[in-house]
Amino acid sequence: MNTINPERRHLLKIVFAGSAVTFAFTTGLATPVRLLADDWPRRTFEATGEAEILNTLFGHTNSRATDAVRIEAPTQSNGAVVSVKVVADLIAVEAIAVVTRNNPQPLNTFVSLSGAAGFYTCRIRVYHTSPITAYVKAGGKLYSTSALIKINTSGDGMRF
Amino acid sequence: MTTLTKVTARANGEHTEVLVLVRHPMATGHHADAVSGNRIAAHYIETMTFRLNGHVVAEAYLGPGVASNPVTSILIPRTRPGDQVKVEWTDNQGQRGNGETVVE
Repeated sequence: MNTINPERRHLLKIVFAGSAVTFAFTTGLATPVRLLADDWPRRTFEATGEAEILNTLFGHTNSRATDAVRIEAPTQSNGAVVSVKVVADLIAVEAIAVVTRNNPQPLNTFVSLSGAAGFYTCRIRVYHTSPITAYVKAGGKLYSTSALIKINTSGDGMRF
Repeated sequence: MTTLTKVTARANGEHTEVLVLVRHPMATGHHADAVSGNRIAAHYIETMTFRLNGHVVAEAYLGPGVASNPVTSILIPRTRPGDQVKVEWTDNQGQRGNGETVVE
């Protein structure tokens, strides 16, 4: 482990958070070790399905819907710039991912937290009307909340 | 192209929201120039590291699904006046930028 850049250790925390690893191994879920091979998780950003994104980021796809995670976003928007705020009223928030299901590459962005609170805002691109889901890892568990955002374009949707 | 990285700290009681604006195309690589018809190469920010007094408190990962001239923010609990906030980013073409501010 000594060869790992200390600045990346908080990312390792997501992947190897003690009890989560035990849980993953005992239940036969794969751990997302491949995330460590690259600073920027290309495979996760290029994934075309939500399941692959969750598997590569969190090692499984089991999320629990909760009111403790809130999304603040417009219900209608130009798809080129959609301001999304995620507020997670949970303790020990480790990571927040923002996923647009109907985008060709659904993962917009994610943040790994190592001292910051359960809060993240970003301006994302949304190609078509779609649910936006915030996945929040807290205390070793995965939570989610979704919001529908209508995009004010017709035909093929936004082109970027 | 000049890049601009603007970091703002908004203190609210004991918490500080750190807001980052970067002037950056966030080009997806799927788009053609309207005049020349040439494909515009993918050019997007990949990582954004937030530090409080030198310690990493958050690392954001961005990509083609983030709007041009991205604005991102995080919330740091239990800050004090004088705390130093620094944000550094890297993009897929190897460019880097950073900005910093002090909590008031």
